[in-house]
Amino acid sequence: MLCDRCKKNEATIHIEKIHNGKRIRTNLCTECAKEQEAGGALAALGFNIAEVLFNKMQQAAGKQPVRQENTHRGPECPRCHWTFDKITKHNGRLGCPECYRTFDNVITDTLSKVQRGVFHAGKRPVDHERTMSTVAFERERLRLELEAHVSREEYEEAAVCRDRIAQLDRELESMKSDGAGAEE
Amino acid sequence: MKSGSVDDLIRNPVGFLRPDTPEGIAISSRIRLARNLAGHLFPCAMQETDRAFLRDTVEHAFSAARWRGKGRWVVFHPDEMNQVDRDVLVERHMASRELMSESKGAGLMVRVDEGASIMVNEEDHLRIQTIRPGFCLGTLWEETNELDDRLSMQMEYAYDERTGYVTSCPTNIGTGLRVSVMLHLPGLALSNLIASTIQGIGKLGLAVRGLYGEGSDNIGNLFQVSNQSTLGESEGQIVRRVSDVISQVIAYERNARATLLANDKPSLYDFVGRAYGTLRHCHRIGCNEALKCLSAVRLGVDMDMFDNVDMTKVNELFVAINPAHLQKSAHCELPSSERDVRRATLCRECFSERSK
Repeated sequence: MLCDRCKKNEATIHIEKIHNGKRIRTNLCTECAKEQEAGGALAALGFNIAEVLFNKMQQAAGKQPVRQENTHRGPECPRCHWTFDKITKHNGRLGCPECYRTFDNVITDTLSKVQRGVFHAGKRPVDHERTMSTVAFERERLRLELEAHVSREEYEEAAVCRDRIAQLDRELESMKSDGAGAEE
Repeated sequence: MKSGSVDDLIRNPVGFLRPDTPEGIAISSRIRLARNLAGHLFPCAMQETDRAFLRDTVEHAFSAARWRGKGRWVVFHPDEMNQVDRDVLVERHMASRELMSESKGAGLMVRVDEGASIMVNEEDHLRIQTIRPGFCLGTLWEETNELDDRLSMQMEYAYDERTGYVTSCPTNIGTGLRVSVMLHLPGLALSNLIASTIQGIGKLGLAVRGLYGEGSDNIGNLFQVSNQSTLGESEGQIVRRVSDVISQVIAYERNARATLLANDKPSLYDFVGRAYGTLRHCHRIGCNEALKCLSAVRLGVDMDMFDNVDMTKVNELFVAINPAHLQKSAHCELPSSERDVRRATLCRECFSERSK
């Protein structure tokens, strides 16, 4: 099959978009795909998740009203003073951890598209303080995971989650009775 | 920690290409963790002096962690190195090109067997990386995890209960884990199955990149396959998911090679033989052409087509023919045309009758 764009090379990349129930298929050769990627056209289709974020931020920045007192568009991080524009210039990289809160709407929305989940399910730093809220948070995450396993009829995995939840419940009870780990 | 010397490193064979590789298709496995220190801006927003201060803090904490692991560690400061030495570290996969082009405050700690390195002030404050020959993601993760745990006892990481390890780019948030395997897939390429294989891998949520990671070409049919998503799964789940896909790709490559051998043996031998002939008789050869030829010869060695070409030698040439390594061995900077001549000499010597 020939590339839809140059009509010369063999198409090796095939993109299928479904828009309003209508299926659109594009077939590209590697060279044309590269050119389109450089132009950002393929990024929105998941070719580069950093690009997706980058584009999303540009879009969001465009929607924000321009502030009269300064030339930046959108919110500004109180810690590092970065704006959408600055993040865009740095290819979607943020200035500091606080940026995650400042640009929460855009980031959460994008993460849900490019990541396999929205909650951390991995390790935590050694000696990371374990408080009631962290345990409760882990319990909530496992409850959602348990529901997902049950809906997929993955009963062995569901049983692992159930046992872990029971363990966390015991941990929460002991924290309450000890008064340790109470939130300030 | 002692300052590193590129001259010392270069005397040893490249760590991830050592001869004990049991699997010819999976060349090496690599794991990297992105970590940031709490209370600091990310490197891209830091002042040069702050970056240098953070680098000192990390080096001090690393020494305090008394991490022995498998051996001695050395430290490099890219801002005090010449361009050739920096490029050598990139060609040996110890550091990224981005780190080596950073001006002030970037740092690199390397274990002298080149099985582990820590980049300081690249995209994130820390990029902990381990690399080993062959396909061994499980054991490699255990090693990386231990190193990470030891470091976390000395430094407070930026960590959030909901989103995990906080990273400069949200595409790394959560585990901060990137698991990758470098695959040699000439069988699939010769069978015109490589495009569909890459597409298939993409559909399974994994990324396929070239020899030097993001943005690099797949010269010599070398591909790095890695996870895209870092949030929503545990490290173990990510390692298992990538491992499952890699096992399948290795099986496809084996099938493709067997089919080529069964259906068109002369063409396969011709492809390998011509590449061997080029390397053995060339007097001027560019890096890309040499990589392509080495890839074909490596396929031949892996399929027992030669009884006198050593896989170790072929593997080492993959790194030795690169520009910085050639210049390092010549002890001077060389223009591209002279590098092509030296590269050809190196290949001829390696494949000459005398060297066998």
